[in-house]
Amino acid sequence: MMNKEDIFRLVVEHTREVLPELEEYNIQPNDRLVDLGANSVDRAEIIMRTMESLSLKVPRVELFGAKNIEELVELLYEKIQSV
Amino acid sequence: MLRTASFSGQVGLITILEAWEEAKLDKADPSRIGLVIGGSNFQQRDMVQMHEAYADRVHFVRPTYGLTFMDSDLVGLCTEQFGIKGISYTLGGASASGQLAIIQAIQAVQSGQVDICIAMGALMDVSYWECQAFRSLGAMGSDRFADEPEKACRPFDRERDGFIYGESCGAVVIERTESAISRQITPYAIITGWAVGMDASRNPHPSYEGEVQVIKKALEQAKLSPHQIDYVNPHGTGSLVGDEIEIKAIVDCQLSNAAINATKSITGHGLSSSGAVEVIATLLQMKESRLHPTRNLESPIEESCNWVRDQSITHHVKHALSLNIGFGGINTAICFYKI
Amino acid sequence: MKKYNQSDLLITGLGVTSAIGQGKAAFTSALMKGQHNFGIMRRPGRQKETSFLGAEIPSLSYPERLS
Repeated sequence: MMNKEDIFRLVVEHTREVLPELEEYNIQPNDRLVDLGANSVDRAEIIMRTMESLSLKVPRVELFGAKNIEELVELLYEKIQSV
Repeated sequence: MLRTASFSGQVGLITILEAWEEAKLDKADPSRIGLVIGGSNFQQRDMVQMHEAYADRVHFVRPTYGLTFMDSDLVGLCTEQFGIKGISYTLGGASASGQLAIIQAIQAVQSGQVDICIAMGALMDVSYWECQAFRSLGAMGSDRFADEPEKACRPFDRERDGFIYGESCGAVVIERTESAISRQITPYAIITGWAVGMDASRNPHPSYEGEVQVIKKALEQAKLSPHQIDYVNPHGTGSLVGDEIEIKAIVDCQLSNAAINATKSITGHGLSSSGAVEVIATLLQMKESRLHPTRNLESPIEESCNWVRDQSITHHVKHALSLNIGFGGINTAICFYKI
Repeated sequence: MKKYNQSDLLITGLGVTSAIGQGKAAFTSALMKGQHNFGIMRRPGRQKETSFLGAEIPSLSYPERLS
């Protein structure tokens, strides 16, 4: 079972895939994807790729509301506990 | 912008940029610039790859597919990148799409909708599904030349057996003198006549009457007699029936004296892009006063034409005629005049 | 521009990307030499049970303005 650090690493990995310019940047839990330069399409891509890696099959709408990466990781962690 | 664009979108952005910079469009009012993108089903190969990758886990399909499966995604990409705020849309005319976009762009400028209009023939990124179906339809060349691929593409030659696909994309900037004058541009040519005509036929084969009709209409609008045309850039795909019909129309319209070659013998057939790319080939040849060779034209189906064969030739072109034909019975023709 | 009438419809810019070259200079040079790029098409999604002949763009170079 994945812990929160594993999920954080996945989010970072997929963020860098979608935003290659962040390769050198040290992404922090309290960073906001939007502040890192991710537009709404980029954010959808990052979240969906992370869900794919986690095989987490929940509607994306259930992951709305996260204010930063840490909160996104929390939401993802909750969902994998409950399925 | 490039990172989430499809291949067709990336090529489109790169191609428009070249035309944009040459026409110095950074100095023009973006609300008076339009973009017409010729073609449809640009991103078939991306679609096939997406469908195959996610066939058994549709839930995880990439969200960007919701954008890229639509042709109009190219409109969004290109207008955002260049800040185009006039008009923009796609329009489809199969293999005549590129010329159809140019003609639509001309009309957008003529009607005053915009002062400057870019016409793009976009890259049609075909997958194996389209290749196989084109081949089964008898349109795409067979694998007879699989061991000698350089010989497969042979428009107007007796040994041809279909078109050979070639990736390409072309963009053309159209405006009136009064709009261009303040930016100090050397124009390539004046557009003097054009025509679009339908055969009322779904058949992939062109019609002789349809082809003759657009040639005559374009010449009439340009106020030219056939003998004034110095160069014809034909559609010439290498298709069995299409090439025969087209060359008969060219001969019967008394254009046999004009020099003629086949751009697709070198580039391959870009489908939606071909009309724009061949207009560009025409204008670049006019600029250079030089005509490119026609590859693999060993025994032409029509000997009476003034073919440019295995070597390029010096040839001053004042008036040129470019032709395109598309599935669905569409014929287009455009005349250019270089002062 | 004096040679042109105010209302003439002009072509004032061209861009081209193709299997025989990216940009007008490379494209024109290949055209004049009859330099083709036909071969078996290799792009993913363009071959399955069989392959097809065609001309593919060898590689794209991305202008700085677009990156």
